[in-house]
Amino acid sequence: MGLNSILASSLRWSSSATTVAEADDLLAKLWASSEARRFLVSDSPADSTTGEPIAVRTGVMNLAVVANGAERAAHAASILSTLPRNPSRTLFIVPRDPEGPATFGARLEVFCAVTPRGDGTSSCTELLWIDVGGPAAHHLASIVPPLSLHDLPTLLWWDAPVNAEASDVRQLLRAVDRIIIDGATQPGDGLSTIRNLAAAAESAGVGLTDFALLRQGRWRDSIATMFDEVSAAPFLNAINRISIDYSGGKSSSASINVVRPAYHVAWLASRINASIQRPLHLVDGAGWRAELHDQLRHGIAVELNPVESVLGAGTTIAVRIGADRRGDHFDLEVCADSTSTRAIAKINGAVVHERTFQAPRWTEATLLSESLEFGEVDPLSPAILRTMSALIG
Amino acid sequence: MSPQSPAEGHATIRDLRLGRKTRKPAAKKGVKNPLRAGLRIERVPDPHVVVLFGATGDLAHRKVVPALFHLWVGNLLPERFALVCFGRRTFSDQEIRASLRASLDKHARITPVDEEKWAAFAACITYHQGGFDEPEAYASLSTKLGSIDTKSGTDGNRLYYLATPASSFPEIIRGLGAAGLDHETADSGWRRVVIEKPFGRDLETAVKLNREVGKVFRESQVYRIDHYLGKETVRNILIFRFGNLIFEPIWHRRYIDHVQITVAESIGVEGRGAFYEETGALRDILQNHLLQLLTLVAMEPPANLEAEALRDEKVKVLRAIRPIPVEKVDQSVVRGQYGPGWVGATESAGYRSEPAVDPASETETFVAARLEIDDWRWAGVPFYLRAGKRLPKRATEIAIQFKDVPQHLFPTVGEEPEPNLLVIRIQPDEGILMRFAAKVPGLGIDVRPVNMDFAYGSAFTVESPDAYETLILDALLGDASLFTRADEVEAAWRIVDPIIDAWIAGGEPEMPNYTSGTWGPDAADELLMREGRRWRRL
Repeated sequence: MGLNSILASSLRWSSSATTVAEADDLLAKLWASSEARRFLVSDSPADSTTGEPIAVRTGVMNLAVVANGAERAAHAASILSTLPRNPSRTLFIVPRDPEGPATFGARLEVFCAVTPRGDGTSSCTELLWIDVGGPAAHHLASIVPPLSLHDLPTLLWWDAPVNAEASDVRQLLRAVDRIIIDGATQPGDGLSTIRNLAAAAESAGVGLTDFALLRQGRWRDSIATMFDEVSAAPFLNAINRISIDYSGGKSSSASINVVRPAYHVAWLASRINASIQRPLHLVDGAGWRAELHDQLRHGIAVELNPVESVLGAGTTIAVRIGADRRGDHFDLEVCADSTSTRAIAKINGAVVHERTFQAPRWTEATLLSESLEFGEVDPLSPAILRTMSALIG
Repeated sequence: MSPQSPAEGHATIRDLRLGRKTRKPAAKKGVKNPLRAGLRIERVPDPHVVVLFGATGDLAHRKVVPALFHLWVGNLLPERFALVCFGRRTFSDQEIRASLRASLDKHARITPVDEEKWAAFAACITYHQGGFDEPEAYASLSTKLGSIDTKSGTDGNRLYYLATPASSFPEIIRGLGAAGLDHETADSGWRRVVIEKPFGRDLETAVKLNREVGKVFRESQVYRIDHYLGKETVRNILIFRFGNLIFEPIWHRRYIDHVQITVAESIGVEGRGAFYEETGALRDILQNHLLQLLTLVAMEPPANLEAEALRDEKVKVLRAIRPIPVEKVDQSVVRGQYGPGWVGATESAGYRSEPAVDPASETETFVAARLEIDDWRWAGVPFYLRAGKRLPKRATEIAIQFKDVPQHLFPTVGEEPEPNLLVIRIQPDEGILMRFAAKVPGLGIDVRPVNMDFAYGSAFTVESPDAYETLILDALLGDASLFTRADEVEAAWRIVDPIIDAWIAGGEPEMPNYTSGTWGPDAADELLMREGRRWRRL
């Protein structure tokens, strides 16, 4: 059910709580009591067979959003409202005033919409707006599990810089099924954050979904499609150069977040089973370098090159892949703009394939929608994150 | 014999191994691309042109073009794409675009229509006027397609979509063949044809049509579409059966009492009286949709998910369905026609009063049939199929009724204990329901059936694509798994043919024989009641 379905979905119940137990109790009672559930279906048409329309909670997932302030929480809610369907229960958690006294306050809301089944059944989702202050803000692991619906996957969207070494984050990781972050907004080059979080997630047995990795889906689709071509396919096993141009902003700087360009390399390396010989390292004035070996132990040179651009710092501008096989030289260049990607493959300098793919840059809503759609299992990330960690060193 | 010519005489393994080194390497197409692993979209189709025959017709406007537009909006069509609308009427490019745009307001899945996306999509649409039987229309089409390939870079890949009345299929196929538009060569790109149902009017015409198509296109180029197979829940039947351990062991005559498959519509013929007069519920629904659903429920696990493996198993089911002898059709098949009545608080006319319908029409708007499958899994398990128009509600579902427990230990609330039931809802509100017994809360041990209900809409965060979107994309990608093969069509007609023969040979039927807004003629209920069963109340 979508909260955006304004015509169909509406706020049917709300309340507030000052403790976790009270919030849990209020919602549990709501669903256990037929009297209370009548509020949820008050304007539904009567069931044609029983005369008693019913309200059911959806069985999708729990989503805990840790937001850096009320504005970010509202922003997250507005993104969720644009998605076709929503989690069964969403916790918007805003930690405040870490030095103050321990506080907890929650506003509870239930939204319902009549299903198309025709029997008056309403399908409902719950939103919990939680303000947590003082020491309690450092113990989110004491809030999320008791307020998560049983037997549904719990996803944690950490919509803020994340410190994977903090004990609260590590404890919280043990209480959820997957953490969603945006590696491209992490401080500094972002690489150590990704490496630490990937390690923490792996040790907790939790999946990690990074918007920065998802965002590059359109590049991956284009590159993969070019290697579907009969003449290009053999060169996949003969790659010896991977070069990524990324925006260095208006002037190159070592502190630019390079998570996005690095993910291109991690993805390619993980797919062709390349091993990391020398991790990414900064080269003065020339960006980042690394060395890989393919399965036959042939070298693959890796370059991440900053170029001046008006695009946001760290944005990928071009991906180039070179390969040599039996005296033939293969070059693939992929570029993108806001609406499409364009790939050109050349063999010995002659264009052999050229395609433009309709592939708009993903919005935050698309990224979140994709992340939620994975549910408990993200098929893409694990192998790439392992390679990414090795690439970061 | 030299190692370089291992094919001559009796070559040894060594000969063959050495000889292989000197041969030209085989084409790599079909080699698994490791970069594809984990990507959400399997792939974007190659650049191509869709040639839509019957572009001014109802099907094109309601289904095909909206599906193509949604694929475009979802970036699932290549940028080098063109849609050539082929029709008899005189239209300019601008007029056909305006006409299709107007239809999108009514039939698009996602509204409001994104005008920017539409403008880009509309720029790919052109109109080609011509009669389906005019050779020069195909010659000029060939020229036009060649110039589109040059201008738009569509690489000679073509999907011919026949959204026309079935009577036009042969002449269009012949026209395409005569103009050489079917030829696939190493340099020409692929050529595929999508053919809408009904595929033939009976076995004889289906065989004839298959021959006509086969004279021009190879079977691998032909995509016979049954849109039911593109529906999410229908595709989920395979996952449900073969992706879960717990159901397959009980998917058997030992545990299943009978199966009911229902395709109920609350609407009438909706201005398609002329079409329906020639078709009827038997040909329109039972021969294809209902039998396709039956095959998915009854088939054995395929060796893999490739198109041929899937379709082989479906054909085996159709061949195992016991044919109904002409003289026994009355005992196993019921037909009906709606009279006037009320549906959804609206008064509706009887079928014979519909526009373009013969006032003495004998065309059936309802059909119910009892079929049996003669194989080890299903022997003795009846499959009851029913389809009809102007029924009380729109509902399509498959209900698997399990047998009763061997001993009733517990008292039940109500008259009779209810055995377990599994319902696969296809529309509306796609989902799966399992009914089982539970204890009524209280001090006693009364038992009542309760439902465990899974609804797609409440368990996933994405919306299902329209069936046409799924199927058209599959055809563009060359995946024929969800399309019907020639032998499958013929096997289905072999089941339906005796019914048609019996109706032709029989006396004048009593029609209309059910009131609009009811669940069909009484005889449909009797079909089950005489075996101690009843249709599910939907």
